[in-house]
Amino acid sequence: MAGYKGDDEYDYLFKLVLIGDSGVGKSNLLSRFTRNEFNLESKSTIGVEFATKSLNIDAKVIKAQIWDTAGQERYRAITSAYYRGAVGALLVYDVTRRATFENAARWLKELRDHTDPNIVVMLIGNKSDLRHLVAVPTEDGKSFAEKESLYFMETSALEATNVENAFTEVLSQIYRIVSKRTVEAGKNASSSAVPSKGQTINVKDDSSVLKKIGCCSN
Amino acid sequence: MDIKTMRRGVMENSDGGEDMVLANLIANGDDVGPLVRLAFERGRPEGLLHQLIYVVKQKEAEIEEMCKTHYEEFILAVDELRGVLLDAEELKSELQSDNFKLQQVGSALLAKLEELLESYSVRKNMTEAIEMSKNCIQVLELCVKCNSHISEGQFYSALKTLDLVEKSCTQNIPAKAIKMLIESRIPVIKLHIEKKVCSEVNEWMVEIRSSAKNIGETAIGHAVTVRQRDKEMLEQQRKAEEQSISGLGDLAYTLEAEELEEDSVLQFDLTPLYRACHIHDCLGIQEKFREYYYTNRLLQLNSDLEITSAQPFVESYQTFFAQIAGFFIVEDRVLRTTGGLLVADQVETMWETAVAKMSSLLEEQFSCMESAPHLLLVKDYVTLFGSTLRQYGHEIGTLLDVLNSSCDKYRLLFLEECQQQILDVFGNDPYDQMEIKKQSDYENIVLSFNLQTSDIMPAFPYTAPFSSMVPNACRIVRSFIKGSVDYLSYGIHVNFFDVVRKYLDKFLIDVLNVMLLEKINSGNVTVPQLMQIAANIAVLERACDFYLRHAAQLCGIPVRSVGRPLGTLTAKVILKTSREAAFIALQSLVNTKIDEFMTLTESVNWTPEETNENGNDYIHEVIIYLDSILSPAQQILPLDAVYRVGSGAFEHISNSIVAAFSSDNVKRFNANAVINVDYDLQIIENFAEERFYSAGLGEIDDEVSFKICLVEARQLVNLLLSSHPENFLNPDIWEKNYYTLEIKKVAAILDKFKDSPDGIFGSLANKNAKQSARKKSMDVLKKRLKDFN
Repeated sequence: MAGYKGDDEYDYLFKLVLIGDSGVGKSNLLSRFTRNEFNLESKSTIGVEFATKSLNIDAKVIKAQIWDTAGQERYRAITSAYYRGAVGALLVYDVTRRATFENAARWLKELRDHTDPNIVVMLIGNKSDLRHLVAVPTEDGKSFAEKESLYFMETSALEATNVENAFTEVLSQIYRIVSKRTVEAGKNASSSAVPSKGQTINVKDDSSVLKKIGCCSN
Repeated sequence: MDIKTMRRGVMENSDGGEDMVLANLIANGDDVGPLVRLAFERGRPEGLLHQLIYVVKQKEAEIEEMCKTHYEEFILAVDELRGVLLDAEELKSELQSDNFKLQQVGSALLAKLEELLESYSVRKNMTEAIEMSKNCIQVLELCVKCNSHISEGQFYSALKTLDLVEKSCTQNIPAKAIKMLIESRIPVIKLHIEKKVCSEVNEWMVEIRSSAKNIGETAIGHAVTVRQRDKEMLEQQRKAEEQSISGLGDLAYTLEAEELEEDSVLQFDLTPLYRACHIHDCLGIQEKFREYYYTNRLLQLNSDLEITSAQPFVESYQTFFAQIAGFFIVEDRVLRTTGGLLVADQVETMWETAVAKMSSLLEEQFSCMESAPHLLLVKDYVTLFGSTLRQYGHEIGTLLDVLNSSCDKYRLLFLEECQQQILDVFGNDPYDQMEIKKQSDYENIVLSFNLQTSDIMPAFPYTAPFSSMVPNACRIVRSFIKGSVDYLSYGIHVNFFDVVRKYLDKFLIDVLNVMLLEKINSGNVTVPQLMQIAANIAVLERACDFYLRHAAQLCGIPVRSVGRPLGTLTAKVILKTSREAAFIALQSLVNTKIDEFMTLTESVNWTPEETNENGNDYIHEVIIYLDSILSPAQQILPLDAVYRVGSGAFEHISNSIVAAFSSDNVKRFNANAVINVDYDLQIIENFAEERFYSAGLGEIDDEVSFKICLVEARQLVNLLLSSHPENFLNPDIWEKNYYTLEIKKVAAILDKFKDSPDGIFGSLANKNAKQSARKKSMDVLKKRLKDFN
C-alpha cells in the first residue's frame, strides 16, 4: 500500500471522527476499514479508540487517523478533545432504528459546534444488509443529507458493503480541499513552503474552499 | 502256520501258553499297549521281555525259511533290474535331448504366454478401474446435477441429490481423495444452501413488509363494507319494526348472506416461506429456522410499531394501523399453512406486544389531540382495525378500553367545538323571523327538525316563528348527536343510547341553555330581541322531541317501540325554565321602559285648578311605547305569550299609578288631579281593550282581558271620585268594587286628598250641596280608617 515508502512515512495525516448513537456500528465500521474485521458480539465502546490506515490518493500517501467514540451519554464529557483537529467526520445511524436517524441532527449540531465549518461530513446509514428490518428509507437519508450539505452512503459493516468507499470518498474530498489550498498558497509569492511531511493540516481560515453541495449516493 | 502254532502249543508248558497269547495278539494286529502297561504297572516286565524275545526268534526263523526257498528268484530279479537300469539311462539321455529341443522351440511361445498373462492381469485391473470410475462418474454426475440445482435455485432437488451423493460416497467410492473431498464439501454446500434460503426469506420479508400495508388496507376496506351493509340492514329492520308496530306494512327480512372469500381477495405469496420451511426440514435444522423466522418477524413488527415524528399522527395513523393489520393477517396465514413454523402462542405474544404498543401510542396521541373530528377519525379507523383483527382470532378489548377512556376527551373537545359554533350562531343571529321562500327550504329548515306547528304545508313566502338561530342550532345539535353516536358505536357499549341521551342532555343544558341564559341576562338585548329569543326557545323545546327520536334512530332503536318508551329529555324542562326566564327578563325590560315614561311624581300637577280631558302627556307616551312592543309581540309570540307580555305591561302601569298616589314625593292632591288621572286611565283602558281584541286574544278566553290588569288603579280612582266613599268599609261593597285596595295604603292616600272648598263658593246651591255631602262621607271614611288602623 505504501509503495516506495515505509509504512510510517506519509504525505498527509488526516484525523477523522466517527459519531452517532450507541449501537449503530461505528466500531465495526472502523475495524472493517482498518483491519477488515467484523465482530458480531459488539461491546459498547469505552471512551475513545482510534486506528490508522494508509492509502494512496493521486500518488500521495494519505494516513487516516480515525477516532471512534462512545455513543453513550456518559462519555460525552470528552467531546472537545475528541473533535480537536478533525478534518472529516462520519455521522453514522442505524437504518433499522429510526431514533438513531432522528438523533443525527443533534450529532451534527455538536459536530459543527466543535469543528471547523469546512469539515467534510458524510452521513452513513449502516446495517443496510438488514433490508427486511429497514426503518429509515434511503430517500429519507438522502433528503436529510442534501438539506444539510452532507455526503451520503448506505453501508454494511457486516458485509463490507460501501465501507471502503465511504472512507475513501471522505479522505479524497479532504485531500482535494487541502491540495487546492496548497495550489492557491503556491500562487502567492509570499507564502510559506508546502507543509512538510507528517504535519497535520490546519483547515481553518480559508474561505475560498468551495461549498459542499449535493450528496453522493451509493 | 496255524497248525504249527497249535503243535508247539501243545508241547510247551504254562509259560508257553502266555507266549501264544501275545503272538496271537500281534498276529491279529491288536493293540498290545494295555498289556505292556499292565506288565510295567505290576512291576514284573521280565516275563513280557521273555515272550517278546521268543516272538523275535520265531519271526527270524520264518524269514530265513522264506529266503532259502526263493533265492533263485532273487538272483533273476537282480539281473532283470540291472537290465532295466541300462534302459533307463538310455531313456534319460533321450529325454534330456528332447527336453532341450522342446525348450528351444517353446521359449518363444513362453514369452507369448507371459505376455498373455500380463494382459489378463491388466484387463482385470482395468475392469476394476472402469468399475470404480463408473461409480465415481455416477457420484460426480450427481455432484454436477446438484450444482445445477443450486445454480437454478432448486434447493430441494439439490438437497435430495446431495443425499444421494452422501450415500454413494459412503458405499461406492474407494477413491479416498475424491471421497474426502466430497465429504468435506457436503457441509459447505449445505451451509451455502441454508444461507441462500435465508437470503430468500429475507427478501420475502422485505416484500411482505412492503405489501403488508396494502393487505391491511384491503382487509380494513372489507370491514368498512361489512359495517356499511350492517348499518343498512339495521336501518331497514328498525323501519320495519316501526311499521309493524303501527300496523302498517309487512316485515321484510332477507336472509341473503354475502360471503367474502378472504383468501381470494387478500392475495399474497408465501411460496418462498414454504420452500424455506421444506429446505430447513430437509437440512434437519427446522427448529433453527423457526427461531430465525420468529425473531426476525418480531423485529419487523417492533420496527413497524415505531411511529415517525416527521409526519403528524393524523396523517400517518391509517398507514400505521394498516401496516400492523397486514402483518397479523400474514402471520395468521403462516400459522395456518406452514405446519408448525409458527405456534399460536408466538402469534399471541406478538399480538400482545403490538396491542401494548398501540394502546400506549393511542393514549399518548389522544392526549395531544385538540380536535374532536381527529379523535373521531382515529377512533373509527381503530374500531375498523379491531373488527378486522377480531376475525383472525385476536382479542381487542384493550384497544377498545383505550377508545372508551378517550371518550370523555372526545366529548369535551366536541362540546367545545359545538359550543363555539353555537356562540357563532348566536352572535350572527339577526333576531328576525325567518322568511322561507320555497318548499325545499321549508323542508330543510322546518320539517327536517320537526319544527312545524301544523301538518299543512303553508303558502310561500312563509314567515317562520323563529329566527335563523333555531335551525342553525338544531343542525349543530344534530351533528353533536351524530358525533356522539359515531364515537360510541362499535366500541364497548353495545346499547349506548342512554349514554348518548345523557351527553345530549348535558350539551343542551350546559351549552345551549347556558348560552341562552347568558344572552337573556346580558343586558344588551332589546325587547323585540328578547321576544324573539323567547319564541326561539319555545321552538327549541319542541325540537327536543326530534333530538331524542333522532338519537334513538342513530342508535338503532325503533321509535315506536312499546316496551321501551324514550321518555323525554331533561333539557326540555330546563329550556322551558329558560323561556320563563326570558319572559321575566322581557317583563323587567318593558317595565323599566314604562318607568321612564311613567314619571308621574315629577311631571304631573297634583293640584291643578282645571281638569284636562286630553289626559297627561305621559299616558300618550306610554301608549306609543306599548304599541311599539305589542305589534312585534303579535308577530313573534304565540297568543298566550302576547297576552302575558301585554298583561304584565298593563299591570305595571296600574301599579305605577297607585304608587304615584302613595309616593312621598306627592304631598297632597286635589279632586281635579284625580279627575285627570281618571281621564288618563280611561285612555289607557280604551287602548287596552282595542289591543286585546285586535290581537285576537278575545278568541282564547272571554274571562280575561288587558283591561282587567288595570283594575287596581281603576278601583282607587273610583273610590276617590265616589259619591259615597264610606261604602269602602262595607264588606260586600268592598268585595265587589274595592277588593284590590289595601286598607293601609288607602288610608295613607286619603290623608293626602285635600279638596279645597274655597274655589266653589260662588257655585250653584245644588252643586255645593252635592260636594258637601261627598266631603262629609269622605271625612267619615278618613276618621274610620284612622280609628281602624
